Amino acid sequence: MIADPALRWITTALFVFAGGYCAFRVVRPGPAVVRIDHGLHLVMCVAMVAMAWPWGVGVPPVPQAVFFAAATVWFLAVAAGHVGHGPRDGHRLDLLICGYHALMMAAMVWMVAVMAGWLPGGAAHVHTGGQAGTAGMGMPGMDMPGMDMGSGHGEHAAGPASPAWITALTLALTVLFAAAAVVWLYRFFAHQQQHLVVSGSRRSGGRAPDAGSAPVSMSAAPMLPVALACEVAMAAGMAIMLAVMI
Amino acid sequence: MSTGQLDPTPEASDPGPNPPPTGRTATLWAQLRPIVLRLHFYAGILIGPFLLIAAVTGLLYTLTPQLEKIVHHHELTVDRVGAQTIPLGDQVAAARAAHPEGTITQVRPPIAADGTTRVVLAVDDVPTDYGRTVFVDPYTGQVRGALTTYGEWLPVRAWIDELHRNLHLGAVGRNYSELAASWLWVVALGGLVLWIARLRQRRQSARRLVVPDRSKRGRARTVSWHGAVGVWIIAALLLLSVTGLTWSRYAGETISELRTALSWTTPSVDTTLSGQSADPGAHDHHGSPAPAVTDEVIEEGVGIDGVDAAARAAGLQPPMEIVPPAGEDEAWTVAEGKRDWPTRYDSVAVDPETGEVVDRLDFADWPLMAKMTNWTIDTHMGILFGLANQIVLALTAIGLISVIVRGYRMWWLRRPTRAGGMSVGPTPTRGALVRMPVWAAVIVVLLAVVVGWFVPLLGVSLAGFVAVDVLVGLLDRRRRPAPPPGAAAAATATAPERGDLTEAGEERR
Repeated sequence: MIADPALRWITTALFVFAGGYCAFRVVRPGPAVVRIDHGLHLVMCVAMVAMAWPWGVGVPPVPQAVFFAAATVWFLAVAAGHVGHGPRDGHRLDLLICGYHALMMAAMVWMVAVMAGWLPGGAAHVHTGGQAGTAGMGMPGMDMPGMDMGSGHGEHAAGPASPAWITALTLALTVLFAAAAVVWLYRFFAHQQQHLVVSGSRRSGGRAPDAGSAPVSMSAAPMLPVALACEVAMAAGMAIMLAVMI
Repeated sequence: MSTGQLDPTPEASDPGPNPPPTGRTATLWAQLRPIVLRLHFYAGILIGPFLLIAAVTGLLYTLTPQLEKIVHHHELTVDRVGAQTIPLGDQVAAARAAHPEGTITQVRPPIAADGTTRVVLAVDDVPTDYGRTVFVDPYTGQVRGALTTYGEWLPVRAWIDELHRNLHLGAVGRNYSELAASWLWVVALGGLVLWIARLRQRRQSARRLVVPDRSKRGRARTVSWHGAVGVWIIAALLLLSVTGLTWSRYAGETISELRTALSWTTPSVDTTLSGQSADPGAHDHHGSPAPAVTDEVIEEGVGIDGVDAAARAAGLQPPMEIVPPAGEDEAWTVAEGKRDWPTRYDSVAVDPETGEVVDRLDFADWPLMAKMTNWTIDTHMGILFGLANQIVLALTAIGLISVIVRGYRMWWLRRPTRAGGMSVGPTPTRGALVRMPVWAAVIVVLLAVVVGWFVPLLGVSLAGFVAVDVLVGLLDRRRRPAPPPGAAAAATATAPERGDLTEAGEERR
């Protein structure tokens, strides 16, 4: 769990937003591949929310690791489908995005493995004290080194330090997802700007509409900005979650 | 250029909240202006009430030093200045005879010849963080009264202080002052930038930056006063904002952590007698509660008079507080607390058995930022420069009140006058962030995240505002007629044909 209440709520908000969008895409009619993609991300969002809260430490690590490993394979397989196509039809970008999503799922496996102390040199972290409501519910091997198993008031659980290679890789993933959040944010604004449509000014009252006072309206793909915002949220949430493990 | 040309009536040609960027003005500022204006406008409208309350209560607070002397004159002064004071120990004994409850936390010898000695007690029947101060005539030992005090503040100042801090609403009430302090610097700096840009755009002289244009009429006159008065008080507002945040509930925590990390915290003398190093934060005399002791310690060893004499021999002078040792193997602490300029904060630790000064910390040796922290906080409280400080703060508060009221008036004056019923002025157009260069929009968001993290109430309120604004925007868009087909088609045509997160990908699904 994340000890800092503010960070915990921020992470929760990010993944609830992203999960909400993914759930919408799962139930919305569409190609099976797309619905599966979003279903996997939905499970990821739920797992991340659980990971942030004290009650989530009881979720068994093995099924999580198996699920996200399978999800990694899925995205790699989808990415493989885009290999060999020419760059002009957008396959190169699809390949990149599928690869990125595969990395995201792999990062989930990584987090579960670090939490459970499965990695060479990594030790499982025993639940150390905490508030009455959570005492005893933590499973040995489910405590992230930098995450707190205590009362949630800022104190950190005492535990053995992670080996340098684990910290280094976690740091690299943190930087990567933080950078990804910035890239997605850039794409979000780039898309929004591309689709600014002048539709007149509400406040100009009878005056000719002008670019400066016109409300912004989106064109025919209303869900795309939400999809991009969802990517920003997921990347930022991953970066936060990985950062607290360092 | 005539006045009319410079500032025509708003309905006719005032660019208003969001003037269209023209070819000539399509500079970076032209793209940034809408978001700065939107931020200034909405923060001003929404946070204005909190700032107004803070300004009014702050104005009241500037009067407290004089008010305190009038209201609590009997407790603060003696009837007759005698030739010789009685021992401090006897004064404390007199206080304890009248008020045996609680424990002694500190003793403050009189500052002036006609002043009283304060014996501060920790008692249970007062609100949290408050104590009871017994006032003793140092010449006769007569107890002149006892008051419930907050630190060194007597009831009248403590009441106004709490009103300013939390409106007497406890922890929840602190959010109001934190919101005000968190947004004050944003509104002030945004307003300054907008004001400068406005004058430059209209090619008005730099004099207009600080001198209101009294030749104007109506809204233009209000804008002129709003901008000029804002410039007069902006330095004070920034100081009040930053120092106000140091007391705040959430941002204050961040600032405390930052001060600790950078070694900017107020240092304290080591009171440990056994040679062990004391907890550096254990005896911070600026905020943390003083230790509780039994009355016996007052007379043990050299007693409080011996401690007082040792401190004075070491060069300390009133105003100072004498804090009994926290326990065995602990020394007395005597700390100066002259908060007006020139300040004195020297402190010593005195061995209760021998009266020897075992540790000393001079204000001159404090880290510069620790000194700056004390000075700026005391400036905020109107203490550092005495009456001049109070006057400047009072004028700042009045200026802030006038700026806020004029801000609302500007909005009111922009309302549609021909429409029936109640109406307010238009708001800056949504979409300011999207109109910025993409890189600038990304930087603005990242900056907002960083600032929001360190100033949490600013971040939360901003996030809340953005969420509501997006929802309102979506609802607004649903109500509006669809954009011209040509525009939509043109926009769609420019979108790349890509996968899931591309235009085409969305359209396929």
